[in-house]
Amino acid sequence: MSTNLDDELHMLTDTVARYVANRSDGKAQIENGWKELAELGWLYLPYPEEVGGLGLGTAGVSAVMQGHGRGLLATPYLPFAVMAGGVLARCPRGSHALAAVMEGEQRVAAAFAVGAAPTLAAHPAGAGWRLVGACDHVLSVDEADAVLAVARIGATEETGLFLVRADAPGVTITVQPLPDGRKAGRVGFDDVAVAAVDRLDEDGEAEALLREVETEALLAAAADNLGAMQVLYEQTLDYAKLRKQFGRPIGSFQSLQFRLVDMWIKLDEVRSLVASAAAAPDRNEAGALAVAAWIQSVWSGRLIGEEAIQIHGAIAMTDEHAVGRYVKRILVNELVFGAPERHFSRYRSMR
Amino acid sequence: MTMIFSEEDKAFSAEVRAYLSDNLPAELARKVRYNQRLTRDDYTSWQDVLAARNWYAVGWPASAGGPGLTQTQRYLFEREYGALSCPHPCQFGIAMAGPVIFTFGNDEQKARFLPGIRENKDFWCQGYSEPGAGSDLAALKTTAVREGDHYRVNGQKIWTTWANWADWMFCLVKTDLEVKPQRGISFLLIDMRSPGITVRPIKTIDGDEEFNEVFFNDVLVPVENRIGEEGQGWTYAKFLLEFERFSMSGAARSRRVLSEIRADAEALGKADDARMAERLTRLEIELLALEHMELHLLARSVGGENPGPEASKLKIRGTEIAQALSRLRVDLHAENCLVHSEAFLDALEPSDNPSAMGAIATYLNQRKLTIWGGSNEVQRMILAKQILELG
Repeated sequence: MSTNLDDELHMLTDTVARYVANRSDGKAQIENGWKELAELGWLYLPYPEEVGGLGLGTAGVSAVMQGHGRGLLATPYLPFAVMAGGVLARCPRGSHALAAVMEGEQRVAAAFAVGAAPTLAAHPAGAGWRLVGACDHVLSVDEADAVLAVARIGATEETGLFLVRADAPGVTITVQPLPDGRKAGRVGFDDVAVAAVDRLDEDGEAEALLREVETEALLAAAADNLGAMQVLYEQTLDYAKLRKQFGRPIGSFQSLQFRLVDMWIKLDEVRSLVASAAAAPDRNEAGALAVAAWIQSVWSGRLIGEEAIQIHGAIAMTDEHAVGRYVKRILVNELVFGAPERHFSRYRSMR
Repeated sequence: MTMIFSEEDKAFSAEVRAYLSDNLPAELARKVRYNQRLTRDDYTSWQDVLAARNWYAVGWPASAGGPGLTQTQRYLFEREYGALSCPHPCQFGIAMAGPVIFTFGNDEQKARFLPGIRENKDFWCQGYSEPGAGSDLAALKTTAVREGDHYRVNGQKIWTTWANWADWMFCLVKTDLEVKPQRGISFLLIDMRSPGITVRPIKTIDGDEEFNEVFFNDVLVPVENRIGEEGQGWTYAKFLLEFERFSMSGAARSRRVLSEIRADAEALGKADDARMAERLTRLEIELLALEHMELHLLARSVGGENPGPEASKLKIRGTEIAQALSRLRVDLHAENCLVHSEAFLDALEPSDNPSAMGAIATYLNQRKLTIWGGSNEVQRMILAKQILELG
């Protein structure tokens, strides 16, 4: 079995690399790729075979996400397939929606922030629920047909998971452009009526389920960061070999050589943790490694991004140059998925 | 890509763990745990325990009389070893002189020297650094002039760890002053009891005396003590640099030290202090990244790849993390570290607060990690040239 999986992952990695190479000019982000991802079958691969997926799990997701980071793909694979899809795949009542997600027919945004308490409240109303509140920075919500909302149940400490159509009465979506060119939005729920069948979780299971999905999201975000910082490292190393000052390539100066070596090591740290997290057979260990991979990817990403700009010099300060786009991608990821210290206690609870 | 250990591997780990923990004397473990100074006898008696199982020369192939472990077993051995408070064994014979002898020596030399190293009969030291030749080893000046069956050796070595305890030194000397520096170096084995050798210990910043100066004044060394070709010493020294680097992450030891510091923090009621908890977690994740870099490198070399100089990254990060841990221990115990007792450090006197009392000496002692074994700057130079291909 493991050889089969290895082969499939190998092929996937090749396909991702080809897709990114064909679609990307290495500078601007790739827009409007959702249909292509669906055609490539990538919307099936995260989920277990029992729910109709390909069963490539976190290893498959991390291959796809490295391509996203590398090609600056704007397609919302992470929030739609990994986060919202990850919730649907874990709830029997979500199976219908999941099938539509895998087919590429329905796009579900994730109206919850990783590691943050719900900002919505759900009040019982007849047989169903009424949702009140707002959720900010919901990635690509402008493209979504529905949102997966996480709400506090009434006055309890309990959490519920709700599937709500984006055009349901009382839902308002305000687009919030992100600093790296991707889009997010504020989703307002003004007493939105939700039918009982659209509450996906059984009582009491939502938090543990969300924790699993969030951990997978962190690994996916780490893989996105990894893809982006790989490009930053490669471009900076190439530039250091070509760019001449004082009559010689700047990469011949020892002070820059040492800094490039440190970038390479920081990159390797993320690469090692992402690969280990994606392949770990033990669930607990995989979870701790996933969180560590995310944390390390932020640390490494900051260093590699800042050094990439410094070593390129003024040219990297221009809006036209690719370096800034990758730096912004990593920075936005950090702010969306949470700075390292915010995840320390999650890491400690898992190891 | 990742390492999944087989049942045999796991059984081997368990065997190592059982043997080491059954045979590690509690008093010795306590000394190691609290970073007290070890005597020559502490080292040799522990090395005898290892040698009894043929695990002193643990990295040697069966053809040299070693246990012939696989790379994976070798890794697992280090992991089990570092998890316990075992003394770090003297490396100069087993990891340096031995491999050069069994790789480049003649049959007579192998028969003469290898058993003594493997069985922990001889204590070895390394004669590389000189006052004017540290990182720039090719600049060494100690000369060996051929006179019939002997070389006449004159010059000085420095920072020679345990030269004061050693029976033998492997030594880089200049045998040809005419050719370019790297070409004129030879590799000699020198009996430390030879007339003309003076050893002078150097007291270091932590108060210890593990370093020495060694002076050679007309020391006669038989030609049969030269390993390999005359003038090829540089090649052998470079061979060793790579041999040594892979096992230099020290990750298992750092994992143990981290859990000791965490236990200390809990005992002091400081584990929930936000800053302390943050620093502990940060270091733990840095260490986890190091462990997984090492695992992936191991997987690649088990897969038949030769990672070569890439292992320098393990030396760099491993030593940086070990140093950060030694600093964290000082910060944790803070003013309690201020009580200084040579008697405690020499394990002649107990203490109510042993963790704190060894903290400063350890912090100072650990500064050596980024200097020796090829300084971290030299490691970065190697990576820049050979991996990043920067000219």
